Amino acid sequence: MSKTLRALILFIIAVAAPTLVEGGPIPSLELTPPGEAAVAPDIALNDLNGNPASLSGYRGKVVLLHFWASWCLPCRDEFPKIKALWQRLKDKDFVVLAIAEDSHKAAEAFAKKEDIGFPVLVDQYGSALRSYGIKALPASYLVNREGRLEGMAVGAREWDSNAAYDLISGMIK
Amino acid sequence: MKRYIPLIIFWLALVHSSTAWAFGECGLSCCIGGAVNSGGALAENLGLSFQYEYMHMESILDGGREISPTGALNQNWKRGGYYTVPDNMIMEKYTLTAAYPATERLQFLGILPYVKNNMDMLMKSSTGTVMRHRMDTVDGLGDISLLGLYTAYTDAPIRPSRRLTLGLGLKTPTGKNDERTSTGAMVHAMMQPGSGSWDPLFLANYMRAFYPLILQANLLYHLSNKGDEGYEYGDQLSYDLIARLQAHNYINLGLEINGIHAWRDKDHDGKYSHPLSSMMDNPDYTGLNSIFLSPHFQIKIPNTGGSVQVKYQTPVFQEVNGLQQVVDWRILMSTSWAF
Repeated sequence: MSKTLRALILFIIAVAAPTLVEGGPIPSLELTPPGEAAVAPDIALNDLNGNPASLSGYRGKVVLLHFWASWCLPCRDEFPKIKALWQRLKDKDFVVLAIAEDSHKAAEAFAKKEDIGFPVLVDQYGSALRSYGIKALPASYLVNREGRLEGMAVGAREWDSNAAYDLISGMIK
Repeated sequence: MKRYIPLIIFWLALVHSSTAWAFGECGLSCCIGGAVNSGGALAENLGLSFQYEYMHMESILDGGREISPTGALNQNWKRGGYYTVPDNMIMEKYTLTAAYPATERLQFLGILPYVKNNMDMLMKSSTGTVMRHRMDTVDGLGDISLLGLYTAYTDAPIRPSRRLTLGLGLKTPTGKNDERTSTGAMVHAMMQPGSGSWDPLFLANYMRAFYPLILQANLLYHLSNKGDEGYEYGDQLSYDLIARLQAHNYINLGLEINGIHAWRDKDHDGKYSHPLSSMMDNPDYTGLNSIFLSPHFQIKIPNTGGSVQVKYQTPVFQEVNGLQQVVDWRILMSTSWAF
């Protein structure tokens, strides 16, 4: 066995060692403000019924743009919290736009099981994922009535908390 | 210096991987299947992969039958002349692959190989004496390939259950194909770092996933053209069937069947051909059918866009035109990073 081969085997063992390491706790509602008053990139996708829908179509409402996938365990855990928030605010100018980074079939099955009442758009080729530069799920973006980003969160958040309710209620007023 | 190349790339990857994912998030690179092969990584911005390949060749086949080196010598040596056969050959290749997703459906790949070939030979002289000698090491930059991969269909962007990818590429003649030995003789065509030709590449990949099991089929057709030294390698069709099991969040286990059908080479100008004196320099002794069984495992590195993979290939079927030295085993080790 050559020296290069041996060196590479040692290298792979060294690189693989961190697989035992895990991360920290779930933050509560730490939203990152956008660097500037950034306009939220528009999203134009089809919903679960095949009808076209876009983010700009909800201009005038506060939108929680939520990227998720049914295979993502943190997303599944977070979904009931988002649903709870939506149920408290659905009669006001607030909408949750769930962007499924999933197949139509999987997103439809999940939406049916969870009895989701807000729109689910299927990002079949990942164009929305790309335009927001998302590298991890779940990812959420709060968009104000003017279509500007107010805050973003990568990872699960306590969307059913009073802090979330107060924050969005403040944006609706 | 060469042994430090993987460590340097690893270090650069660590320095430049700014994304750290906390618990409660799914880093996307952990869930993105390779577009071309089980080790490839699709990057959101840029992907880099470094692979080391070690190929050991010792067995000689006469058609589908194994023959000893002395048997091959005696079969071809003619009294008054001399004849050489390879005794064993070690071919090493270091490959750096860069992937850039231009759009959500189109990705460009650049593949930069560096090759290092060694061979021991047996020669039967005009007096009938058999001698062993070592060819000078041939190493250098190989032929750079550029590929465009288009996602013709996918049912989901990240963890699809069905995906069809089509590719078109070009192998460029960047590697030297006129390396000579210390005696001034042209090195055997198959030992040259490059082919001297511009060759189109056609690729198709179909992926069907039943998570945690992922199945893939690859087809790659390499259409060879005549090189600037007049040598034309045979076209090559590679086909792979890949089964990959996500055994753990960070560990994939896989089994592949890798097939190759290579057509015969042509030496238009006769610069490399010495069929009466060398088994290696006979275009009639080129072209083969090979099927390899390749177990592999892949470890994804948490909180980064990186992974490492090791693949071992062993032949289960080989049939060649004429007499040829064939691959006994091959090991491929790679690390991939998505930035």
